[in-house]
Amino acid sequence: MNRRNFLTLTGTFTGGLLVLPDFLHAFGSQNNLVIGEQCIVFVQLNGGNDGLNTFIPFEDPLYYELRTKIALNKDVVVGRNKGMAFHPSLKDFAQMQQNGDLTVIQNVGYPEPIRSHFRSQEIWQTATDSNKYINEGWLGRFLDLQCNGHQATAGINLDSIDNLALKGNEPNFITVKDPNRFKVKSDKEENITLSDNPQLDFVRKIANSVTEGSDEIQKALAKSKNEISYPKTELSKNLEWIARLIKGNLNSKVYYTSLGGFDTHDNQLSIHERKLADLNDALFSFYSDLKQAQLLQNVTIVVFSEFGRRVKDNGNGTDHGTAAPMFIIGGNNKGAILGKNPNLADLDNGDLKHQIDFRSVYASLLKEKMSFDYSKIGIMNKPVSGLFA
Amino acid sequence: MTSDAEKPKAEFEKIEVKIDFDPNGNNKTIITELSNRLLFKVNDSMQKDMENLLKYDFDPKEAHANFAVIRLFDYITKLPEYQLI
Repeated sequence: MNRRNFLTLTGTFTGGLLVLPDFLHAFGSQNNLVIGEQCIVFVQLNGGNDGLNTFIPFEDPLYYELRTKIALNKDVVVGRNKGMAFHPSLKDFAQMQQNGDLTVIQNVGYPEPIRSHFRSQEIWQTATDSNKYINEGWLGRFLDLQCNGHQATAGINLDSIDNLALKGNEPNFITVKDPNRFKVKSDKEENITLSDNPQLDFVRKIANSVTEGSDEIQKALAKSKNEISYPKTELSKNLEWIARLIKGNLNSKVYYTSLGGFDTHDNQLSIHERKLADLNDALFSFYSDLKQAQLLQNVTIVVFSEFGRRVKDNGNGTDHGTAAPMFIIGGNNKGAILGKNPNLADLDNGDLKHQIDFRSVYASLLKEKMSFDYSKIGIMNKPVSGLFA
Repeated sequence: MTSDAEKPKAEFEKIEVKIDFDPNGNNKTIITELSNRLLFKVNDSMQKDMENLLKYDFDPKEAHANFAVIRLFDYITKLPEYQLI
Protein backbone atom coordinates (compact mmCIF):
# COMPACT_ATOMS: atom_id res chain seq x y z
CA MET A 1 0.00 0.00 0.00
CA ASN A 2 1.43 3.33 -0.96
CA ARG A 3 1.13 6.55 0.95
CA ARG A 4 -1.85 7.78 -1.01
CA ASN A 5 -3.87 4.61 -0.50
CA PHE A 6 -3.05 4.53 3.17
CA LEU A 7 -4.04 8.12 3.70
CA THR A 8 -7.16 7.77 1.60
CA LEU A 9 -8.25 4.91 3.80
CA THR A 10 -7.40 6.89 6.88
CA GLY A 11 -9.48 9.80 5.75
CA THR A 12 -12.36 7.62 4.68
CA PHE A 13 -12.54 5.70 7.90
CA THR A 14 -12.34 8.57 10.27
CA GLY A 15 -15.34 10.28 8.75
CA GLY A 16 -13.64 13.63 8.52
CA LEU A 17 -12.90 13.93 12.18
CA LEU A 18 -9.19 14.38 11.79
CA VAL A 19 -9.76 18.00 12.60
CA LEU A 20 -11.41 17.19 15.92
CA PRO A 21 -9.60 15.83 18.92
CA ASP A 22 -12.36 13.68 20.36
CA PHE A 23 -12.01 10.80 17.94
CA LEU A 24 -8.83 9.77 19.68
CA HIS A 25 -10.59 7.46 22.06
CA ALA A 26 -9.89 3.90 23.02
CA PHE A 27 -11.40 1.13 20.96
CA GLY A 28 -15.02 0.47 21.62
CA SER A 29 -15.81 -0.41 25.16
CA GLN A 30 -19.34 0.92 24.92
CA ASN A 31 -22.43 -1.20 24.60
CA ASN A 32 -24.01 -1.00 21.24
CA LEU A 33 -27.60 -0.02 21.39
CA VAL A 34 -28.21 -0.50 17.73
CA ILE A 35 -28.89 -4.17 17.47
CA GLY A 36 -31.47 -6.26 15.74
CA GLU A 37 -31.99 -7.56 12.32
CA GLN A 38 -33.83 -4.81 10.53
CA CYS A 39 -31.94 -2.57 8.17
CA ILE A 40 -32.77 -0.09 5.43
CA VAL A 41 -30.94 0.19 2.13
CA PHE A 42 -31.26 3.50 0.27
CA VAL A 43 -30.69 3.77 -3.44
CA GLN A 44 -30.60 7.42 -4.45
CA LEU A 45 -31.14 8.17 -8.14
CA ASN A 46 -29.09 11.29 -8.78
CA GLY A 47 -30.08 13.90 -11.31
CA GLY A 48 -33.86 13.86 -10.88
CA ASN A 49 -35.50 10.71 -12.18
CA ASP A 50 -38.44 11.18 -14.53
CA GLY A 51 -41.23 9.56 -12.51
CA LEU A 52 -43.80 9.80 -15.28
CA ASN A 53 -41.69 7.64 -17.59
CA THR A 54 -40.77 5.28 -14.76
CA PHE A 55 -44.21 4.42 -13.43
CA ILE A 56 -46.36 5.44 -16.34
CA PRO A 57 -49.99 6.65 -16.47
CA PHE A 58 -50.43 4.82 -19.78
CA GLU A 59 -54.20 5.16 -19.83
CA ASP A 60 -54.19 8.94 -19.43
CA PRO A 61 -54.56 10.64 -22.84
CA LEU A 62 -52.93 13.77 -21.38
CA TYR A 63 -49.72 11.80 -20.90
CA TYR A 64 -49.51 11.30 -24.66
CA GLU A 65 -50.63 14.86 -25.40
CA LEU A 66 -48.02 16.45 -23.18
CA ARG A 67 -45.20 14.14 -24.11
CA THR A 68 -45.44 13.87 -27.83
CA LYS A 69 -41.80 12.93 -28.33
CA ILE A 70 -40.96 10.83 -25.30
CA ALA A 71 -44.17 9.10 -24.19
CA LEU A 72 -43.91 5.34 -23.95
CA ASN A 73 -46.39 3.43 -26.00
CA LYS A 74 -49.03 1.52 -24.05
CA ASP A 75 -48.00 -1.64 -25.88
CA VAL A 76 -44.53 -1.67 -24.36
CA VAL A 77 -45.21 -0.84 -20.71
CA VAL A 78 -45.16 -3.74 -18.24
CA GLY A 79 -46.97 -4.79 -15.07
CA ARG A 80 -50.21 -2.90 -15.73
CA ASN A 81 -52.15 -2.10 -12.62
CA LYS A 82 -55.04 0.37 -12.33
CA GLY A 83 -53.97 2.61 -15.15
CA MET A 84 -50.29 2.60 -14.21
CA ALA A 85 -47.45 0.45 -15.52
CA PHE A 86 -43.68 0.22 -15.39
CA HIS A 87 -41.16 1.30 -17.99
CA PRO A 88 -40.21 -1.78 -20.05
CA SER A 89 -36.69 -1.65 -18.58
CA LEU A 90 -38.23 -2.24 -15.16
CA LYS A 91 -39.66 -5.64 -15.99
CA ASP A 92 -38.36 -7.11 -12.76
CA PHE A 93 -39.89 -4.27 -10.75
CA ALA A 94 -43.18 -5.49 -12.20
CA GLN A 95 -42.23 -9.00 -11.16
CA MET A 96 -41.36 -7.92 -7.61
CA GLN A 97 -44.66 -6.12 -7.41
CA GLN A 98 -46.42 -9.22 -8.68
CA ASN A 99 -44.69 -11.17 -5.92
CA GLY A 100 -46.13 -8.71 -3.40
CA ASP A 101 -42.69 -7.38 -2.45
CA LEU A 102 -42.73 -3.92 -4.00
CA THR A 103 -44.82 -0.92 -3.01
CA VAL A 104 -45.05 2.17 -5.16
CA ILE A 105 -45.73 5.42 -3.33
CA GLN A 106 -47.03 7.89 -5.89
CA ASN A 107 -46.54 11.66 -6.11
CA VAL A 108 -43.94 12.01 -3.39
CA GLY A 109 -42.46 15.46 -2.91
CA TYR A 110 -42.52 18.44 -0.56
CA PRO A 111 -44.12 21.88 -0.38
CA GLU A 112 -42.41 24.80 -2.13
CA PRO A 113 -40.31 22.47 -4.29
CA ILE A 114 -36.81 23.50 -5.34
CA ARG A 115 -35.50 22.60 -8.76
CA SER A 116 -31.81 22.81 -7.96
CA HIS A 117 -30.19 19.35 -7.75
CA PHE A 118 -27.90 20.59 -5.05
CA ARG A 119 -30.51 22.10 -2.82
CA SER A 120 -33.20 19.47 -3.40
CA GLN A 121 -30.80 16.67 -2.49
CA GLU A 122 -29.90 18.63 0.61
CA ILE A 123 -33.59 18.85 1.51
CA TRP A 124 -34.13 15.12 1.01
CA GLN A 125 -31.00 14.31 2.97
CA THR A 126 -31.71 16.59 5.90
CA ALA A 127 -35.52 16.14 5.90
CA THR A 128 -36.13 19.85 6.39
CA ASP A 129 -38.63 22.29 4.94
CA SER A 130 -37.41 23.82 1.72
CA ASN A 131 -36.65 27.11 3.50
CA LYS A 132 -34.87 25.57 6.51
CA TYR A 133 -31.29 24.47 6.87
CA ILE A 134 -29.71 21.82 9.06
CA ASN A 135 -26.11 20.75 8.89
CA GLU A 136 -26.79 17.16 9.99
CA GLY A 137 -28.58 14.57 7.91
CA TRP A 138 -31.79 12.87 8.99
CA LEU A 139 -30.14 9.46 9.29
CA GLY A 140 -27.18 11.01 11.09
CA ARG A 141 -29.52 12.56 13.65
CA PHE A 142 -31.31 9.22 14.02
CA LEU A 143 -28.05 7.32 14.54
CA ASP A 144 -26.80 9.96 17.02
CA LEU A 145 -29.78 9.17 19.20
CA GLN A 146 -29.73 5.43 18.62
CA CYS A 147 -26.08 4.74 19.21
CA ASN A 148 -24.47 4.91 22.61
CA GLY A 149 -21.31 6.92 22.12
CA HIS A 150 -20.58 6.06 18.57
CA GLN A 151 -20.73 2.95 16.47
CA ALA A 152 -18.55 3.15 13.40
CA THR A 153 -20.57 0.72 11.31
CA ALA A 154 -24.10 1.83 12.21
CA GLY A 155 -24.34 3.28 8.72
CA ILE A 156 -22.46 2.20 5.61
CA ASN A 157 -22.21 4.54 2.67
CA LEU A 158 -20.91 3.05 -0.57
CA ASP A 159 -19.75 6.09 -2.48
CA SER A 160 -16.64 8.12 -3.15
CA ILE A 161 -17.83 11.03 -1.02
CA ASP A 162 -19.47 11.25 2.39
CA ASN A 163 -23.23 11.46 2.48
CA LEU A 164 -25.00 14.37 4.12
CA ALA A 165 -27.97 12.14 5.05
CA LEU A 166 -25.72 10.13 7.36
CA LYS A 167 -23.78 13.05 8.80
CA GLY A 168 -24.39 13.50 12.50
CA ASN A 169 -22.55 14.79 15.52
CA GLU A 170 -20.93 11.41 16.08
CA PRO A 171 -19.10 9.35 13.46
CA ASN A 172 -21.71 6.62 13.16
CA PHE A 173 -21.10 5.79 9.55
CA ILE A 174 -18.27 5.02 7.22
CA THR A 175 -17.91 5.76 3.58
CA VAL A 176 -16.49 2.88 1.65
CA LYS A 177 -15.40 3.06 -1.96
CA ASP A 178 -14.76 -0.66 -2.14
CA PRO A 179 -15.13 -2.93 0.91
CA ASN A 180 -12.44 -5.16 -0.59
CA ARG A 181 -9.99 -2.59 0.60
CA PHE A 182 -10.80 -3.10 4.25
CA LYS A 183 -7.84 -4.67 5.93
CA VAL A 184 -7.84 -6.86 8.96
CA LYS A 185 -5.68 -5.62 11.78
CA SER A 186 -2.45 -7.57 11.61
CA ASP A 187 -1.18 -6.56 15.00
CA LYS A 188 -2.70 -6.11 18.38
CA GLU A 189 -2.51 -2.37 18.78
CA GLU A 190 -3.12 -2.56 22.49
CA ASN A 191 0.31 -4.11 22.85
CA ILE A 192 2.09 -1.25 21.23
CA THR A 193 3.85 0.74 23.90
CA LEU A 194 3.79 4.45 23.62
CA SER A 195 7.00 5.92 22.39
CA ASP A 196 8.64 9.09 23.57
CA ASN A 197 7.71 10.66 20.33
CA PRO A 198 4.26 12.31 20.44
CA GLN A 199 4.13 12.69 16.66
CA LEU A 200 4.66 8.97 16.24
CA ASP A 201 1.95 8.19 18.76
CA PHE A 202 -0.40 10.51 16.95
CA VAL A 203 0.19 8.73 13.66
CA ARG A 204 -0.28 5.36 15.35
CA LYS A 205 -3.54 6.44 16.87
CA ILE A 206 -4.74 7.52 13.46
CA ALA A 207 -3.59 4.22 12.00
CA ASN A 208 -5.57 2.38 14.68
CA SER A 209 -8.64 4.41 14.00
CA VAL A 210 -8.34 3.39 10.36
CA THR A 211 -9.10 -0.17 11.23
CA GLU A 212 -12.00 0.69 13.46
CA GLY A 213 -15.07 -0.94 12.02
CA SER A 214 -13.05 -3.05 9.66
CA ASP A 215 -13.03 -5.99 12.07
CA GLU A 216 -16.79 -6.18 12.02
CA ILE A 217 -16.84 -5.78 8.27
CA GLN A 218 -14.20 -8.44 7.71
CA LYS A 219 -16.07 -10.83 9.97
CA ALA A 220 -19.27 -10.21 8.06
CA LEU A 221 -17.52 -10.73 4.74
CA ALA A 222 -15.89 -13.92 5.99
CA LYS A 223 -19.23 -15.30 7.09
CA SER A 224 -20.92 -14.74 3.75
CA LYS A 225 -20.27 -15.51 0.14
CA ASN A 226 -21.54 -14.51 -3.28
CA GLU A 227 -24.42 -16.79 -3.96
CA ILE A 228 -25.82 -15.40 -7.15
CA SER A 229 -24.20 -13.64 -10.01
CA TYR A 230 -24.75 -9.89 -10.24
CA PRO A 231 -24.39 -7.79 -13.40
CA LYS A 232 -21.04 -6.05 -13.85
CA THR A 233 -22.14 -2.52 -13.03
CA GLU A 234 -21.13 -0.20 -10.24
CA LEU A 235 -24.53 -0.20 -8.58
CA SER A 236 -24.67 -4.00 -8.78
CA LYS A 237 -21.25 -4.25 -7.25
CA ASN A 238 -22.27 -1.97 -4.39
CA LEU A 239 -25.47 -3.90 -3.77
CA GLU A 240 -23.60 -7.19 -3.95
CA TRP A 241 -21.29 -5.94 -1.19
CA ILE A 242 -24.21 -4.72 0.86
CA ALA A 243 -25.82 -8.15 0.50
CA ARG A 244 -22.58 -9.77 1.68
CA LEU A 245 -22.51 -7.54 4.74
CA ILE A 246 -26.17 -8.18 5.54
CA LYS A 247 -25.81 -11.94 5.05
CA GLY A 248 -22.69 -11.88 7.20
CA ASN A 249 -24.72 -10.30 9.97
CA LEU A 250 -23.03 -6.91 10.13
CA ASN A 251 -24.97 -4.87 12.57
CA SER A 252 -25.56 -1.85 10.35
CA LYS A 253 -28.94 -0.20 10.40
CA VAL A 254 -28.56 1.86 7.28
CA TYR A 255 -26.85 1.32 3.94
CA TYR A 256 -26.71 4.03 1.33
CA THR A 257 -25.66 3.99 -2.29
CA SER A 258 -26.54 5.88 -5.43
CA LEU A 259 -26.86 5.75 -9.18
CA GLY A 260 -26.25 8.86 -11.26
CA GLY A 261 -27.22 9.93 -14.77
CA PHE A 262 -30.92 10.68 -14.43
CA ASP A 263 -30.68 14.31 -15.52
CA THR A 264 -32.29 13.64 -18.87
CA HIS A 265 -32.69 17.07 -20.47
CA ASP A 266 -31.84 15.60 -23.83
CA ASN A 267 -31.91 12.23 -25.56
CA GLN A 268 -34.09 10.96 -22.74
CA LEU A 269 -35.54 7.82 -24.32
CA SER A 270 -32.26 5.99 -24.76
CA ILE A 271 -30.50 7.34 -21.65
CA HIS A 272 -33.44 6.64 -19.38
CA GLU A 273 -33.92 3.17 -20.83
CA ARG A 274 -30.30 2.33 -20.09
CA LYS A 275 -30.32 3.80 -16.60
CA LEU A 276 -33.53 2.08 -15.58
CA ALA A 277 -32.24 -1.23 -16.93
CA ASP A 278 -29.11 -0.77 -14.83
CA LEU A 279 -31.28 -0.07 -11.78
CA ASN A 280 -33.63 -2.95 -12.53
CA ASP A 281 -30.91 -5.55 -13.04
CA ALA A 282 -28.90 -4.52 -9.99
CA LEU A 283 -31.91 -4.35 -7.69
CA PHE A 284 -33.41 -7.58 -8.92
CA SER A 285 -30.16 -9.44 -8.28
CA PHE A 286 -30.00 -7.90 -4.81
CA TYR A 287 -33.63 -8.80 -4.19
CA SER A 288 -33.13 -12.39 -5.38
CA ASP A 289 -30.00 -12.74 -3.29
CA LEU A 290 -31.78 -11.57 -0.12
CA LYS A 291 -34.84 -13.61 -0.88
CA GLN A 292 -32.78 -16.74 -1.34
CA ALA A 293 -31.05 -16.05 1.96
CA GLN A 294 -34.49 -15.53 3.54
CA LEU A 295 -33.54 -12.06 4.63
CA LEU A 296 -35.80 -9.95 2.46
CA GLN A 297 -38.32 -9.44 5.25
CA ASN A 298 -35.57 -7.82 7.35
CA VAL A 299 -34.25 -5.53 4.64
CA THR A 300 -36.22 -2.55 3.39
CA ILE A 301 -34.94 -1.13 0.11
CA VAL A 302 -35.90 2.47 -0.64
CA VAL A 303 -35.49 3.93 -4.15
CA PHE A 304 -35.92 7.68 -4.61
CA SER A 305 -34.66 10.73 -6.46
CA GLU A 306 -34.33 14.41 -5.49
CA PHE A 307 -37.18 15.43 -7.80
CA GLY A 308 -39.21 14.25 -10.75
CA ARG A 309 -39.31 16.04 -14.05
CA ARG A 310 -41.69 18.45 -15.74
CA VAL A 311 -44.82 16.92 -17.20
CA LYS A 312 -44.37 18.36 -20.68
CA ASP A 313 -41.34 17.29 -22.61
CA ASN A 314 -38.86 19.83 -23.95
CA GLY A 315 -38.53 18.09 -27.30
CA ASN A 316 -36.05 15.36 -26.69
CA GLY A 317 -36.05 15.24 -22.91
CA THR A 318 -37.51 16.75 -19.78
CA ASP A 319 -36.50 19.54 -17.42
CA HIS A 320 -36.45 19.60 -13.62
CA GLY A 321 -39.83 19.07 -12.03
CA THR A 322 -41.36 18.13 -8.71
CA ALA A 323 -43.18 15.05 -7.42
CA ALA A 324 -42.28 11.50 -8.42
CA PRO A 325 -42.89 7.95 -7.21
CA MET A 326 -40.79 6.24 -4.56
CA PHE A 327 -40.31 2.49 -4.49
CA ILE A 328 -40.12 0.33 -1.38
CA ILE A 329 -38.92 -3.24 -1.82
CA GLY A 330 -38.87 -5.93 0.88
CA GLY A 331 -39.04 -5.28 4.62
CA ASN A 332 -42.45 -6.88 4.75
CA ASN A 333 -44.12 -4.11 2.79
CA LYS A 334 -47.63 -4.71 1.57
CA GLY A 335 -46.84 -4.69 -2.14
CA ALA A 336 -49.40 -1.99 -2.77
CA ILE A 337 -49.70 1.10 -4.91
CA LEU A 338 -50.22 3.99 -2.52
CA GLY A 339 -51.54 7.40 -3.45
CA LYS A 340 -53.60 8.48 -6.40
CA ASN A 341 -52.37 8.24 -9.95
CA PRO A 342 -50.64 11.44 -11.09
CA ASN A 343 -53.20 14.08 -12.03
CA LEU A 344 -51.99 15.56 -15.28
CA ALA A 345 -55.00 17.84 -15.54
CA ASP A 346 -54.28 19.67 -12.30
CA LEU A 347 -50.74 20.96 -12.48
CA ASP A 348 -48.88 23.65 -10.62
CA ASN A 349 -47.29 25.76 -13.31
CA GLY A 350 -46.71 22.67 -15.45
CA ASP A 351 -45.53 20.49 -12.59
CA LEU A 352 -47.17 17.66 -10.67
CA LYS A 353 -48.54 18.57 -7.26
CA HIS A 354 -47.10 16.36 -4.57
CA GLN A 355 -49.53 14.29 -2.58
CA ILE A 356 -47.32 12.53 -0.07
CA ASP A 357 -44.49 14.30 1.73
CA PHE A 358 -41.21 12.37 1.58
CA ARG A 359 -40.86 12.92 5.33
CA SER A 360 -44.03 10.87 5.85
CA VAL A 361 -42.21 8.00 4.19
CA TYR A 362 -39.19 8.61 6.42
CA ALA A 363 -41.53 8.67 9.44
CA SER A 364 -42.96 5.28 8.43
CA LEU A 365 -39.52 3.79 7.97
CA LEU A 366 -38.30 5.04 11.34
CA LYS A 367 -41.42 4.10 13.21
CA GLU A 368 -42.15 0.73 11.70
CA LYS A 369 -38.72 -0.56 10.77
CA MET A 370 -36.51 1.07 13.38
CA SER A 371 -39.08 1.40 16.22
CA PHE A 372 -37.95 5.00 16.57
CA ASP A 373 -39.95 8.08 17.44
CA TYR A 374 -39.40 10.18 14.30
CA SER A 375 -40.43 13.39 16.07
CA LYS A 376 -37.15 13.22 18.00
CA ILE A 377 -35.28 14.17 14.86
CA GLY A 378 -37.75 16.89 13.98
CA ILE A 379 -40.00 15.05 11.54
CA MET A 380 -43.54 16.25 12.14
CA ASN A 381 -45.27 14.58 9.21
CA LYS A 382 -47.57 11.67 9.83
CA PRO A 383 -46.30 8.28 8.66
CA VAL A 384 -47.69 6.88 5.43
CA SER A 385 -50.27 4.31 6.32
CA GLY A 386 -50.59 0.96 4.59
CA LEU A 387 -46.93 0.66 3.76
CA PHE A 388 -45.85 -2.26 5.93
CA ALA A 389 -47.70 -5.37 7.03
CA MET B 1 -26.68 17.99 49.02
CA THR B 2 -28.97 16.93 46.23
CA SER B 3 -27.86 14.51 43.58
CA ASP B 4 -28.55 17.14 40.95
CA ALA B 5 -25.84 19.33 42.34
CA GLU B 6 -23.33 16.51 42.09
CA LYS B 7 -23.86 15.91 38.43
CA PRO B 8 -20.71 16.75 36.58
CA LYS B 9 -21.08 19.31 33.90
CA ALA B 10 -20.35 17.62 30.63
CA GLU B 11 -21.46 19.86 27.87
CA PHE B 12 -19.60 20.57 24.71
CA GLU B 13 -19.32 24.03 23.46
CA LYS B 14 -20.58 24.32 19.92
CA ILE B 15 -18.26 26.43 17.89
CA GLU B 16 -19.50 28.07 14.77
CA VAL B 17 -17.06 27.06 12.08
CA LYS B 18 -16.50 29.59 9.37
CA ILE B 19 -14.71 29.40 6.09
CA ASP B 20 -13.62 32.08 3.74
CA PHE B 21 -14.84 31.85 0.16
CA ASP B 22 -15.89 34.20 -2.58
CA PRO B 23 -19.71 34.32 -2.62
CA ASN B 24 -19.67 35.94 -6.04
CA GLY B 25 -18.24 32.84 -7.66
CA ASN B 26 -19.81 29.52 -8.55
CA ASN B 27 -19.16 25.91 -7.54
CA LYS B 28 -16.07 25.63 -9.72
CA THR B 29 -14.47 28.88 -8.60
CA ILE B 30 -14.99 27.91 -4.96
CA ILE B 31 -13.54 24.45 -5.57
CA THR B 32 -10.54 26.05 -7.27
CA GLU B 33 -10.20 28.61 -4.50
CA LEU B 34 -10.12 25.97 -1.78
CA SER B 35 -7.97 23.51 -3.73
CA ASN B 36 -5.37 26.18 -4.45
CA ARG B 37 -5.26 27.06 -0.81
CA LEU B 38 -5.22 23.56 0.63
CA LEU B 39 -4.12 20.94 -1.85
CA PHE B 40 -0.81 20.44 -3.56
CA LYS B 41 -2.31 18.42 -6.39
CA VAL B 42 -5.78 17.86 -7.81
CA ASN B 43 -6.60 14.92 -10.06
CA ASP B 44 -9.69 14.19 -12.15
CA SER B 45 -11.42 11.92 -9.67
CA MET B 46 -10.94 14.42 -6.85
CA GLN B 47 -12.30 17.17 -9.06
CA LYS B 48 -15.31 14.98 -9.87
CA ASP B 49 -15.95 14.22 -6.20
CA MET B 50 -15.70 17.90 -5.34
CA GLU B 51 -18.13 18.82 -8.10
CA ASN B 52 -20.44 16.22 -6.64
CA LEU B 53 -20.23 17.89 -3.27
CA LEU B 54 -20.76 21.34 -4.75
CA LYS B 55 -22.96 20.80 -7.78
CA TYR B 56 -23.22 23.23 -10.67
CA ASP B 57 -26.46 24.63 -9.34
CA PHE B 58 -25.05 25.35 -5.88
CA ASP B 59 -25.85 28.92 -4.87
CA PRO B 60 -22.97 30.50 -2.92
CA LYS B 61 -25.10 33.50 -2.00
CA GLU B 62 -27.60 31.44 -0.08
CA ALA B 63 -27.57 32.18 3.65
CA HIS B 64 -26.38 28.69 4.57
CA ALA B 65 -23.98 28.12 1.69
CA ASN B 66 -21.13 27.93 4.21
CA PHE B 67 -22.46 24.55 5.44
CA ALA B 68 -21.83 23.07 2.03
CA VAL B 69 -18.45 24.74 1.64
CA ILE B 70 -17.43 23.29 5.01
CA ARG B 71 -18.45 19.85 3.76
CA LEU B 72 -16.13 20.45 0.82
CA PHE B 73 -13.43 21.49 3.28
CA ASP B 74 -14.00 18.27 5.25
CA TYR B 75 -13.54 16.26 2.08
CA ILE B 76 -10.35 18.13 1.24
CA THR B 77 -8.83 17.64 4.68
CA LYS B 78 -9.24 13.91 4.32
CA LEU B 79 -7.25 13.74 1.11
CA PRO B 80 -3.62 12.67 1.18
CA GLU B 81 -2.95 15.75 -0.94
CA TYR B 82 -4.12 18.03 1.86
CA GLN B 83 -1.33 20.34 2.92
CA LEU B 84 -0.99 20.50 6.65
CA ILE B 85 1.70 23.11 6.38
